[in-house]
Amino acid sequence: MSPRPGFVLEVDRSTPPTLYWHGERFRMERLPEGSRVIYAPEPLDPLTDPSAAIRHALRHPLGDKDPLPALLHPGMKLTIAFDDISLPLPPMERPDIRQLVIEQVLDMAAEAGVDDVELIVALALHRRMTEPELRHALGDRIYDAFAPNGLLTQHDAEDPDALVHLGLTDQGEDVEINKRAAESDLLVYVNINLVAMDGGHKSVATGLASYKSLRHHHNPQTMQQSRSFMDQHKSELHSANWRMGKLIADSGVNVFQIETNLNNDAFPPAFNFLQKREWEWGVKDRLAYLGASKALDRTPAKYARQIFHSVKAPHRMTSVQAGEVEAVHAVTTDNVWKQQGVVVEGQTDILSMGLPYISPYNVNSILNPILVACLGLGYFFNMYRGKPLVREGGVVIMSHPTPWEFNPVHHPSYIDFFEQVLSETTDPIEIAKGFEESFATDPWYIHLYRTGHAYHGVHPFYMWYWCAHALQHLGAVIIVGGDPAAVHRLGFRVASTMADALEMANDIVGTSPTLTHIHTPPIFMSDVQ
Amino acid sequence: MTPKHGSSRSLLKTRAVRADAALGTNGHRRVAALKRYSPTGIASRAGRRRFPLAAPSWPENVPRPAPDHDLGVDYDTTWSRKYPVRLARAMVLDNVTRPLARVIASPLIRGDEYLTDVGAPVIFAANHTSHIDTPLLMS
Repeated sequence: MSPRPGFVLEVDRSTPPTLYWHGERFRMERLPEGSRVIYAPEPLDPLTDPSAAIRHALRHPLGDKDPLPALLHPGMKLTIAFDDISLPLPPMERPDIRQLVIEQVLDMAAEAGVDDVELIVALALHRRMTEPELRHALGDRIYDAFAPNGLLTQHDAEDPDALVHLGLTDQGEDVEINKRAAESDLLVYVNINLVAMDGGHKSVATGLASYKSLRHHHNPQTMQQSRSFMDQHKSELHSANWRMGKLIADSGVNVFQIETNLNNDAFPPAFNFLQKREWEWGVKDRLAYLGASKALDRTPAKYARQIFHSVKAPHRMTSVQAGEVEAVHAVTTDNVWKQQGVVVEGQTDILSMGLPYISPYNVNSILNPILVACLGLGYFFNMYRGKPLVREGGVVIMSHPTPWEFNPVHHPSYIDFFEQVLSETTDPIEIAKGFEESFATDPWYIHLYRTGHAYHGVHPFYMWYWCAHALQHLGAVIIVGGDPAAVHRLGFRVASTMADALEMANDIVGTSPTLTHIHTPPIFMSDVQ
Repeated sequence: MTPKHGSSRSLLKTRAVRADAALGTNGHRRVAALKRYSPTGIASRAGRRRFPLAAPSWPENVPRPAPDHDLGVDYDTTWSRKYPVRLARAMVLDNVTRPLARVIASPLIRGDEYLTDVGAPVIFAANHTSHIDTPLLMS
């Protein structure tokens, strides 16, 4: 049977309660009659032979690009850059797509007699990956062949010797990227596309860039002008990256882009209930839900988090395409829409969402309050094409415990941002003007980013900028079940139950409002008509 | 008058209140447990179960998918072919029907070797002569 497309349910008196993520726990909420619940399309069928598909893509590139074997020759300098720990979510079961693709690229390089090969994690200002994480992404064979010889490196956006300034775009934007990548005869980029924002010129222009380059598009103005940043054609974030990508190409950097699409099978069979429509839950689903929710309710959050972060997703590859960046990305974006697109008629007064334990920036870590805001208002709010799901002046209700808790190893500057910056103002533009520079150039944060596993000092600012469009658009944000102190620091309101939250929302959007709930996982994109 | 903190009277009173409260709680708990596990309590809870303890109700505006049929004709006896029902039927046949049938009649079985290689589905048509045909054939 072919996978069913997405579905918009209108809640009636027979509709069973709706499942909400609530951090490391679940909630069941009975939504008012007339509310809408949007369900994602079912997982597309995976490729039956991913290795053959990868070989075919490398030998039959898209756009103005020769097949990969024709680009490889003895004596050349080859660099393979790949996406970091932020993709996919949750991390996928072994073998990871990066391993499958890079193994084939390396085989072709070996056949062509290429000796000078280096691998670079394109992590921009994210934290460095740990050895187990790299082994998981690349497989032991690649890791053991490259890492001990210093041929597997993590991009360092603060190492002046490892960066090269390629010039300015026609809008005066600095383009400064990884020197090894820029000076290679061929740069192969291996991407995993989970959301429409990923891939394209953003892979190199962001993933291998420095702060000097990133600040031109990672700012509140760009995010407020991106409607949304998940829709390439209306995204200022993309426009800036495309300008930079063109300059990179004009500078003579030869990029061979490999992009992959995944299906949205995000959780193993024990959690099947998460991705099913509630009225279709069978006995197994109900037992699994009851077992999981009761056990999690009695498990301290720290251990529940560990359990969830150990979950690996059964994601499977649905397509792979390689060649010239823009031609490849056009196909990838189409495929993302095939898997994630849901047509929705009209906007809503109130948008509700249950937030999970994970976002791109807290794999094996804590979803701290800033990341809660970013996940809800940066990601889920922006997963639209056309118009936002919620009308201007509307309300977003998020469900998450939002603990005042941070991982000091991964997110040291987040702690100070939360304590010092958000206590002063929550306005992204004021924050950028008043505080960004000092955090971005702080030697201690730079040291932790370069030598430890810390996100860059400026990263919490970017997470807050990610919310800029939503903060400008919405009348209020309410977090159900959140820690009141943490939620108030974010500038949001807190409610203990969904009923309370709806009552609070009524004060803003008026009585008898419309309510739409986005049912995740899996994630989806709304095409709002 | 509220006793002052630290006086022995206030401590005594607190202990007494705690003891009373504990007694009351235990008493309530015992009664609640009796009610909970009484036949009427169990029956009433079974009737009150809600999703996800009970099966979910189907939204009115969502069309139900056509059920999968494993028979050519749509009989409303699907329940009788479910595993728990088949198990219960086998237990009744082996432990009740078969001994009772043997008490009433000692059948002479001939030609059962022809059934060895017969695969399902099969229709057994009894040349009906008595009400005991059914239990005899089934056992």
